[in-house]
Amino acid sequence: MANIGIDLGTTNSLVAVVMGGRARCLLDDEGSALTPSAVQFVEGTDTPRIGLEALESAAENAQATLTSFKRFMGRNMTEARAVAGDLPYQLAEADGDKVVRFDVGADPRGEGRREVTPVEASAWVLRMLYMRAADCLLATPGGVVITVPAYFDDAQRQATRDAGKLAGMNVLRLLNEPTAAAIAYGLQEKKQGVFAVYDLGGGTFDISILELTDGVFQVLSTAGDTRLGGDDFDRELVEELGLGSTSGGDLRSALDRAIAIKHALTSSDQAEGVTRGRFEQRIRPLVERTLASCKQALKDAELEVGDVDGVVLVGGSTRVPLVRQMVGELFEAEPYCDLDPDQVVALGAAMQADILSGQSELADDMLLMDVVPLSLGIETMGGVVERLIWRCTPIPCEASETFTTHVDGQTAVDLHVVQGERELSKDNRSLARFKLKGLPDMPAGLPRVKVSFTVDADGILQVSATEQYTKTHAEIDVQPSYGLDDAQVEQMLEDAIDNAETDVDERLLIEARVEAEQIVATVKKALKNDGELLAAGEREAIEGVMVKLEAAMGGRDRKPVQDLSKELDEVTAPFAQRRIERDLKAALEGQDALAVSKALERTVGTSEAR
Amino acid sequence: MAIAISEAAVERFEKLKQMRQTPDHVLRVGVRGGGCSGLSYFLDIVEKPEDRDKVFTFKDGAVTVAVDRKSYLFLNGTELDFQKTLMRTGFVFNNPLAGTSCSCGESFTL
Repeated sequence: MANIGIDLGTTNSLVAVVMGGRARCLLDDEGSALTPSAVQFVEGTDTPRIGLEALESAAENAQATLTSFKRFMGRNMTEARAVAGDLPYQLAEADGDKVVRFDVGADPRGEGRREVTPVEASAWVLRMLYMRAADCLLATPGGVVITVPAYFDDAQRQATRDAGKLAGMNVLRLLNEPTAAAIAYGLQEKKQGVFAVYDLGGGTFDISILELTDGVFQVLSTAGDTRLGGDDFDRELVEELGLGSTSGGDLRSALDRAIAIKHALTSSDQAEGVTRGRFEQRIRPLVERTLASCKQALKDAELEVGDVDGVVLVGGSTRVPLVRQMVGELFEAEPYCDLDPDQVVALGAAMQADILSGQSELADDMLLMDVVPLSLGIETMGGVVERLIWRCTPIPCEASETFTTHVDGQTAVDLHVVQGERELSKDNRSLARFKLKGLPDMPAGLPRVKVSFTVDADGILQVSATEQYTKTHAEIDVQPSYGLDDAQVEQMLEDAIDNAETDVDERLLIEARVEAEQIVATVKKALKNDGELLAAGEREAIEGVMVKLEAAMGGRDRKPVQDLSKELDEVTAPFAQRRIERDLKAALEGQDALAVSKALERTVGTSEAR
Repeated sequence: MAIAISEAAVERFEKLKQMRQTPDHVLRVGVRGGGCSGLSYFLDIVEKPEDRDKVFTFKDGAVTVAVDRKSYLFLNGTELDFQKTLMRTGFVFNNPLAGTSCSCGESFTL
């Protein structure tokens, strides 16, 4: 199960995964990595529109469309009202110390209004990205690393975790966005240095000073503004267009127009009558505010500009030429901007998630330390291996399976723990043998012996066996990797592949034999005990097939064993039917529920053993 | 005999490769023990086939399906399909070697 990384952004969110040794963002149907962090609640249904679909119809459904809700994560109503003035949607009526709620329209399930928290809105976005990852991986993702601004306080971090849980994900870790960006550029490979990460997103600005020591990042200082970003550039443009006094749907349309102009001005000098110079004049004070934060962060870290070895640009707003220029000038360095600034954080999150999986494609040297190097299993009837823990499972891990007895009245089972990928236990490495004694005296197939394998963080395997009715228990500890080096592990894996065909044939033959033995034993017992129920000539017919089957069981070909087993099963069917009817009738006449169930147990249970 | 792949499965796989931005990756299918009916199928998209895999290509090499040799013993003749119905959406194995399948279709016996 691959782990995934999610950048839950103010304006856009992304999901990325390490595949084939490289982190990549997963694209939507339109081929875009960016999913707008927008959720639109549709009247009359519980399921909202998410992402682009929500944004496209935002202008006509302004109140029902939530955007930039990350700003309200972990906030209460009082804090929210302070910044809510120019929102295209509305806050709900609630006391100041309550968690923020938005009023998005009529409740589809009742009379009142539908109120949504930023956590719920975030969960919808997370869920959509999670589903995309599940599609692309052909499997449910393992764990998720979600990034948060370094600036987030405890309440905001907790709200982010809650959103993940609400979306049904296993949140492995929250990762600071600047650290994720540094990881994406592989800066940890430089081992030493001081780096600044300048992150100007849609709604938040973060500057972080990271110190790298022996490949580990430490945040020396952070500064920034949780309410400054590209959205503010858009608002400046709305003012510039003379639409500053609009609200609701009109404001939404004005913002859409502003965003288009902003994008155009990245590569051209003029768009819709707005020159780049005029735009830069408008936003210069905002960029200067970010630079003031940068200086503050340096001061807090007790560093000078000259101490910084590099600066990483993150966030779509760092595409604005003025931003690049001013940041480069401040840090006296050419910024890192080779990776897509929108994707950098998600890529770093995916790389961190991959490392946390213990099966990292990126961190090769960790491989044999943190996973089970060879499968662990137990020998079952006929010397066939039943695997409980598969190779490459990250440790610690556990697994259990229920086994039963093979012979009537069997009071002990031998447990043989083996390691390897071969089908027969004799070809695998024997780890331990122990005995579970004191099983209840029952027909074959009825006792239930639960065998549990637990591998702890140090790689120690504990095997325990418990009989479920009497709770008889036995256990043993082994160290599976003891005395095994990489070359031997490799050899065992190669043997398993080289012998695959013969191993599988052998296993199927043994399984067919075991099944045949059980049928023969059951039939013999029935012939002995219930001979009076046989019709004329039936015994001869049954014994005839049985003799042939027993002869086939001595051979090396599984086909006749399977065919004759089936034939024996068919030829004895009327006889078995009569036995069940006889036992049931006897029991019912006695009106004894216990006897009925015992009768069923006796006839059905004994023929069902596997 | 070999492994076959339906038009719907090809289309889905190409779509997934596009979403993953991994145009060169291959579909790796196989069989392992477990599941409600004894053996179960697995499916993964990986960078390249393993050294000893059996490899099948379709659509002039645009689609590659890899099977390890052990699984191939159970999958010879299988057609890989993709179904999108109200009940389930996903890849489906139409395996002539499978004796009984469990109702979810994820596992089978020979």
